[in-house]
Amino acid sequence: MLTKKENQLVTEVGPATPLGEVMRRYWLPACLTEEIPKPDCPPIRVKLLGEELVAFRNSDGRTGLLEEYCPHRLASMFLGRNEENGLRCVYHGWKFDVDGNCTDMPNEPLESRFKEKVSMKSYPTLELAGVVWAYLGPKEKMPEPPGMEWLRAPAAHRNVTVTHEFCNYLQAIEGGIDTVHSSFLHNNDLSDMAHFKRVAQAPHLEVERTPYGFRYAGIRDIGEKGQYIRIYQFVLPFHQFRSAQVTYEQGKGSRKAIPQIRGHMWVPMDDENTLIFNWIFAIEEDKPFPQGFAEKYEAGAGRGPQGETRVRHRTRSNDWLIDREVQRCKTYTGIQGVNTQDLAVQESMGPIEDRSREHLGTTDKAIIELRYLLLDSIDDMKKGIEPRGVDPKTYRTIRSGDIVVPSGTQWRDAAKEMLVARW
Amino acid sequence: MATKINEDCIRCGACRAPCPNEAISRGDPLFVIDPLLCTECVGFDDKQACAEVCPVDGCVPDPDHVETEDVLIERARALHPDMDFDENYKSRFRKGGK
Repeated sequence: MLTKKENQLVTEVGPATPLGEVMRRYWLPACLTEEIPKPDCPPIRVKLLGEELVAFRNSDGRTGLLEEYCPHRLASMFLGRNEENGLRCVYHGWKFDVDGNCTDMPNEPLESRFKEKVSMKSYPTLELAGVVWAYLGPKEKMPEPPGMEWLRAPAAHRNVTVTHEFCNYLQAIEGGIDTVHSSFLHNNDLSDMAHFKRVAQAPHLEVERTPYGFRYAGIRDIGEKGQYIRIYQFVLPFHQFRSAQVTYEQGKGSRKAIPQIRGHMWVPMDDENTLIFNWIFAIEEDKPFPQGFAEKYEAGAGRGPQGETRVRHRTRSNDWLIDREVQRCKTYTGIQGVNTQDLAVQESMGPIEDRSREHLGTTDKAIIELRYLLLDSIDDMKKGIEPRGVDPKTYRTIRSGDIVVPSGTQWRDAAKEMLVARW
Repeated sequence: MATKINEDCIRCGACRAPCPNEAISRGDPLFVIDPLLCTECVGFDDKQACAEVCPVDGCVPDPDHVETEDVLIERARALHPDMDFDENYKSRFRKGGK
């Protein structure tokens, strides 16, 4: 539970807001490489922290991120012509390079120097692991490029997609760091009573603050088999890592054929819209994803060509296509797709959840930690202290894990090796 | 005695809003009650509002700050000079209170 003022502080991300200023100290995922795949391809609209932008790739292959509106008459550069190392406004032909310089102004006299006086706001970009990243903060504070392990995994071992979520980024993250809800929301086989997450619906949570954010263990007692422990990592401001190495369906407890680490980056487009980057990588060098693996995983999540991407099919307007008969007989929600279930409950809260009305319990400790981390980051910035998670050295070597251990085992010891990055 | 928050606190913050004296704040790491502002809800309620909402029953009497009802109502009067506490003020020390 937060006060209304605290809730405002942790949910508002626009320019000049306290948390917006914190967020501008990080490299932010802007779009996928495949969305601007080739030189001179069409530009796309990008919204980051309340700023309306366009991303494009110039003739040399460099990516650019400019404010969306042409400084002449404010027509959208999304409509622009991407040609000869610049984006040209279709209204009167003004042209800008990836650095925002006006390189042509054909509707002014040939001798005019006006174009030297006009520029567009542009932000530095870089490309890593199929993602175009942007830095919106002060130049002198630009950090090193992001250094999460999944960014170093070979292309054949990783996959990344995007989904548009119609709500504030924080309630989306809070779903992602809430291990408990999967016992309920993601119960997609009501008959599987041996599923580890059915057997233990109220795990014990242990949360630890770290130099990059926090990590926490969700500890489930699963009877004779011992304890099923899931260790999550969270790198500020919005990166979650979770592990998928153990098969928990039907109480198996065996190692997955292709052990993986999965995660999300919940990037605030504005206060009421979030772009989720869904990433996954295989952790064993000799076990890359086979043909069709990533597509099948995406489909199971409710994403992919027929599912939820930047374009949404299951939304509040159609009640996320909830099927009450399926809900009665087969799954807990009656909503198809694991991540679509997340989208449904998070969007059902409204655009910005009112956290002054909540009743949090013992399994909400990770959510509580995140909120105070964000509030503390705001305080740190005021004191001139760099926020946690800006420096990639603090998180380069971390990994999430999941493991079955005998009851009473200390997870910090048992999982020590598996929490170290290998790529 | 004044109320304190014990180590079971999960930092949910639910106890802050119902406190009539704004005696509860976020500490490091747990929430804390300022004993100089706590009236154990005497003057406002016949139960302790923070304890009523705590999900882990972590708002408990503080044996290091034992205070009488008279002390607590006087504190309430001092903290809220604009309020009128007649002799029928609410108190957990009275019949029906807890």
